[in-house]
Amino acid sequence: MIQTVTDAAAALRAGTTTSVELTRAAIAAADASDAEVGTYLHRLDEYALDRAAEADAELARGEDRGPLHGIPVGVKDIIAMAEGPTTAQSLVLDRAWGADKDAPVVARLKAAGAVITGKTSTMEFACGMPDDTKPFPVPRNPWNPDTWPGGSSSGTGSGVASGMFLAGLGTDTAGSIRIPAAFCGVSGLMPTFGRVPKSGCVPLGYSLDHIGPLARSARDCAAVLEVLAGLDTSDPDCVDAPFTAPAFDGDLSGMRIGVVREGHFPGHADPALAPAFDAAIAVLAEQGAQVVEVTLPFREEMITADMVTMGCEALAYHRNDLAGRWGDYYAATRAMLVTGAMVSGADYVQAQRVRRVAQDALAALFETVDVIAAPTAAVGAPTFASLAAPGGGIDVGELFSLIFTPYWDSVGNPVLALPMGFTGDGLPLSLQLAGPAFGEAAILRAGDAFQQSTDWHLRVPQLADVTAA
Amino acid sequence: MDDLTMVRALLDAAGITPSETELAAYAPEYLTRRASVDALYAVPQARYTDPALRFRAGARLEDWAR
Repeated sequence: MIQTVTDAAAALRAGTTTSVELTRAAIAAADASDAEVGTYLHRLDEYALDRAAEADAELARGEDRGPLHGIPVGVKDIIAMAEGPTTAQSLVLDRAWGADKDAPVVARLKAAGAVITGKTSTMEFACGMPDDTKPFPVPRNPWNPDTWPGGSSSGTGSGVASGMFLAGLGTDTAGSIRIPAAFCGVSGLMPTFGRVPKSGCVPLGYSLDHIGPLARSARDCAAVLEVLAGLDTSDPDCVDAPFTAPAFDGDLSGMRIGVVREGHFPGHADPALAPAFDAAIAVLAEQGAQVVEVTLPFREEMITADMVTMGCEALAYHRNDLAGRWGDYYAATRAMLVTGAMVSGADYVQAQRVRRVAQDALAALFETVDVIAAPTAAVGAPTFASLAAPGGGIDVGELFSLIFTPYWDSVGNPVLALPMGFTGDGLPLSLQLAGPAFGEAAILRAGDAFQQSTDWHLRVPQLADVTAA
Repeated sequence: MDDLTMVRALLDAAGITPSETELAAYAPEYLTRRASVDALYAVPQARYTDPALRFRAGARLEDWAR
């Protein structure tokens, strides 16, 4: 079974598979599992098969667009695609906003020859946990459908894990690429803020949103980032920072890895977390890395800054619709959005001042280490029941006592989430590798070296195993 | 002013009128959230720091659609 973009690209060029075959396998996986795990909001089967046939014809003529040519890819449904629709998993989003338009990242995928198979499920507007009160699927985890696949890029995570596509787009504002990567047992990359244009994506946090890939492997994430990264002036935050994947030789000699434990092993962490994390660090050391214990500067403050910033920036976008269409939002979305009204404008500005201080302190730390390693979450995927809050929605405080992602959104550094083992209940555990600003090459090298020595990233949930080609 | 009254007033000022059930769920979080936000003002290194915000004169809107 072809599981990775890298292997699929090699097989296409070796003539041992075709894009149409890859796309048919992806469609078969969706036929088998999508109804149960709710990966897609909108499938594009016929469109994808047409694009796959075009890709095969182009490759046969020697017209090679690169490693994503002919590869099935999913797109999170807060990102506009002309073949749409784009709904943000909400009754509220004006369908005309994204109609007949491609976001810059979608245009880049198309230009690279990617075969987009559909729009994937998400938390409403990337922040509200879906329930059964609205006409959208509730995303579920393919490892155990009674558990949350993570979010908000839920469908992209479950789709990669289930083989419905080989890579997909997600977004990350407080962890929404890395959390589904962690809970679905796949790899996910949050690039440096501004490296990938976020125009054409429904905003959650204007100064926090990152578009990035989920895929099986670090090497696959690198291939997707090469396509996505680079200046687009329609996004005022986008910078001129294209990306070229580094050499993946598996040798981490000379790489200094700072290991963070403080605040990442709460009393209610899964008992398998510490052994799995220690084993992962040992693998990195075996590849030549020097390991040292470090502490994240301003850890609590950056978590607060992320919540304040996201709440305020999101409420500005949603305030009029909240007033007029309260009941059309999911309860969890409403609960998140109202937090923006509970802080002042001065609080927002102060959060931005402390973000600047933390960025500087973190940059100083990265003068002493090349990569920082920490768990992505303290547990495997939680059950839906355990996440429920009184009055509807999710208990955000409980959730973020278990997940260690928002810090990195506040500072804007790149972070790669990788599978590193399983809980006793058979749910994936995940490692985060963070780098200095624009340091994606280092974290991808480290992640690839880890994956050259382990096979966690190749494990397939039993739900998807029956569809293996 | 108790938390419930405070939260009701804040949301009302923002034009938001949740149900009493939802309001009762939001209110207990307010104090916890307020304490963590107040802690941001206690970061001494931020006293004279510019916020991570920038306004550029002459900036124009550009259509993102491709």
